[in-house]
Order: sequence, then structure tokens, then C-alpha cells
Amino acid sequence: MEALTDLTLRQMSAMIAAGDISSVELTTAHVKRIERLNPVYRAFVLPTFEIALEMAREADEEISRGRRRGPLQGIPIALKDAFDTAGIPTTVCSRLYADRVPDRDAFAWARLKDAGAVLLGKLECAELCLGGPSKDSMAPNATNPWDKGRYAGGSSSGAGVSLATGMVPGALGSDTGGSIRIPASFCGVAGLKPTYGLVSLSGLFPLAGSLDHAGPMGRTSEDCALLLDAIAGYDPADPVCVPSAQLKTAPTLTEDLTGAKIGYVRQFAEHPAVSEEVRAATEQALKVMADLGAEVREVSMPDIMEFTACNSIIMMSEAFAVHGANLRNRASEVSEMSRKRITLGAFIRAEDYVRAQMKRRELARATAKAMKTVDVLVYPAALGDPPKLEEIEPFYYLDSPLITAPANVAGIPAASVRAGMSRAGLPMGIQITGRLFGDADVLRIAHAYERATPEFNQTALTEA
Amino acid sequence: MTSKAEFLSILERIGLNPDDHDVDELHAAYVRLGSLFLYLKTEQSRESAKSLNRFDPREPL
Repeated sequence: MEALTDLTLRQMSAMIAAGDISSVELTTAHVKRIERLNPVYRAFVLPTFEIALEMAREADEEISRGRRRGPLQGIPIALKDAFDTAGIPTTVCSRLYADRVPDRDAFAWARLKDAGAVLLGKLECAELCLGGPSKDSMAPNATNPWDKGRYAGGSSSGAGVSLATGMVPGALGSDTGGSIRIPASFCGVAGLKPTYGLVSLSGLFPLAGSLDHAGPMGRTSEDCALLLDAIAGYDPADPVCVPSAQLKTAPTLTEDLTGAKIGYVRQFAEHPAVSEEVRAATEQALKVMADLGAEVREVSMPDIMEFTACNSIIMMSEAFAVHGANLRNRASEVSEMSRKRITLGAFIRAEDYVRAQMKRRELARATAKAMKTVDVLVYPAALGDPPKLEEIEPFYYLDSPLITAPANVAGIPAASVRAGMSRAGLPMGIQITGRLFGDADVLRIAHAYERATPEFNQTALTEA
Repeated sequence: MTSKAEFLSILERIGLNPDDHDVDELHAAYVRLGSLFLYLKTEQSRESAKSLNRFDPREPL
């Protein structure tokens, strides 16, 4: 990997602040890398290089005048193609929206823009944030750089792949049942699904509004913190966005976990569907955290299948509410995987949807109770190695545990961070989940763990 | 459990065209979906549950 694009977002930011590099130089290095690698890895569906270079020039000009906007000024980033960008197509990688050009920016992108970030382009995602991986979607699936025959995770696949290959140092994804954390885990990068209501959903294309979250992805948790601090904030246009003080998680990061209380959800890690390697990696991560001063104790949670059922039923119902008309009138334009998954939502009765919402409250309360004596919970981010593309069936989530679902159901923050490599040479991830609005706790513990395990900070193979 | 014929009739009533779908596969998935509902049992009474059919915009999640 070229030296410059191998750096973390934090390191790039420090170089810009010190005057060691300009935003134009940094952006140009990423443009060259995308031009070289994207034909193979297909992470970008719409590069915006001219816009990026213009934004970079503006950032450099502002910096030269002494106007400093903060750590993201002049930093190139990219957005999952579900975030509206004024005047730039936003298609959710679907033929249904192939010509859609929003006239307003998504709130989260507007915040990044205000912070001086530079838009390198729009990233591939599973069609409609649901349909991956699909052979017949408008945009080909982004390719897992660790093994081209395996899934990169979804739906924020392009974000995971672009970060793992050094095409971009920071990105925004969205997460309804794991769509930030799964690609982060499968691609060997970091991602945070923030607390529900912390980041506005305005201008994020909906999949299931009561479960959708917008959040940051980076090569490290520290980079996620820098992005989160920029995008979190009250938006009166989003009725669930919480009025709160400006969040500052990045300054709270530390490498010492003395006093931190960590709950290990053994029942999740020891679920029969979780591989032995992933369980061992999770327990090894807990040992590292204990060595850093944390107190680790076991915590009991409700059955993972209760979270899975709740998440799946709400998601399918709400997704059909969004796309029912499309399936009635334009079904041939929807890829096979999305069509199957969304259509099933039509058969969930209103009674069952309401029951799922009732169950959700019960699970959220049980989760809060489980976390009363700990700051965070730790358990795997995925069940095992990324599945082979040909082995993924459309309805896997009907009987397989969705280990990322608890955080969506309970609305709590959850990060996926690297936890080593499997015997097959593929990245493994752990989840660190916090209390409602405990996003800073999550990132603090994730950061300390990452700093203590530099051997996991490998980048993916990038030979084009 | 809904038979395939009933399933097909629901599909049409919803306004979906069966020709757009692999009805056999969808019906099999629907049968599997039934197992998920078993996990929705709650201790709350549907007649008295505070959270049922109520909307409180001030209520935290």
C-alpha cells in the first residue's frame, strides 16, 4: 500500500494541521488509488473526483487563510450511496432510483461538509440496503479484498472494501441489522452504529425507519470517533433525533482501561452457530482488555433469537411499507435478492408487527438491566468467516442468529473492531456495545483495545 | 399454517403479481417465518400493555 493512503484519518489530519501535506495532495493520492483499484474491487459506484479536487482546493485555501474547521478539514471521505447528496445522484444502487438526484444533502453529509471534509464519491451498497449479495443488481457487489470469492458484508459493502484497500480513510454507512458492523468485520476495519437518535436520519434512504442508523466507518475506532463527533447533533427535521450537547468522543479516548467494567455475553459467543475461532478471539480480546485494567464479568442477555426475530419482523414489515408500491408496479426492476426479501414482509400481519414492537421494548429493558453494572458488553461481530458468495441464501436470517441485532433492537451504540485473523486468513471482529448514549464508552474501550493489539492492524491485499 | 393456495391468494390480494415471484420459494420462506413468531412471546398483556396502541412522543426508547 502506498505510504500516504496507508495512514489513518487521524494521521492524515495531523499532517494537514502541521502543513506537511495539502488536501489537494492527499485527495490526489486517493484519486490515483481509486483509479487503480476500483476496477477490481468495485467499492465506488460514483467517483466524484472533480468535486473532490475542488473541495480540496477550497480547504487548502481556507487553511492558508488561517480558517481552521477541525480535524476533518481537507480529509477525503466517501458516502454509502444511500446518503443524499445535492446535485449528485443517490440511487441506493437500485434501478428504481437510477435517475434520482436529490436537491438537498443528507444531514450527516452536510455536517461533514461543514467540517471541511472532501467527497471522493458514492460507495456501493446492497441494493436498497437489503439485497446483497445479488448477481443481478444495478451495481456489482464490492469485492472482499481478503478473498474475492467471499462476501464483503452488507449492506455498507463499498465502505468496508474502500477502507480495507486504502481507497478512502473514512466513510459513512448505515445499519438496520448490522449493515455497518458486518462489512467492518468481514473487511477488517472499524465501524460504529451510534445510539438511535444521536445521528439524524434526514436524507438517508430508509430501509426500516425504526431500526435504521447512520454511522461512521474507518480503519480505526479513533477515526470513527472523529467522524461521529462531526455528524452527531440535533436535527429538528428528524423527529427521533435527540436534542443533546455537541458530542466529543475523540478527546476522551485513552489507552488505559483502569476502572472500566466490561460484560462478556458468553451465551452469544458460545451459540452453536458461532465458530470456535471467533469465540476464542472474543475471549482473547477480553483478556487484553483485562490486562489494560478493565474488570470483566459475565452478563446474561435474552436469547439471541428473540433479538433476531424482533429485528427481522420489524425490518421486513417496514421495508415492505417503503417498497410495496415498487413491487406491485416495477418488480422487474428490483434484483432477485431484494425482491424476495422485501416481498416476504407483505405476509407479516399487523398483529405480529405490533407484537414485535412490544417485544422490542421488553428486550430493550432487559438489555438496560443487563448493563446496569457494566459500561459495555463484548461479544462476536459475526458468526465466523465471511460466507462464500454462492452459499448465501436469501432468507438466512429466518433461522440463523443475527448477532448484530441486539444493538438495533435496543437502540444502543455498538462498534465492530478487528480481533485477529482466522486460520483461513480472514479478518474476525468483536462487538463492543454500550448503554444508550454511551457511544464515548464504546469508542474509548475499542480504541484502547486496538492500540494494545497493533498486530491486528493489517491492511488487505491490494494487488490490482 | 397458510397453505400454498391461500398464500397465492393473499399474494394477489396484496396486489402482487405471482409471475414476478418464485411462489414456491416464497411460500417455503413464509413457513420458516412462522418459527420467528414463536420468539415474540412477551409477558405483557395485549389488553393492558402500556406500549400497545399508545404513542408518547416524550417517551424515551
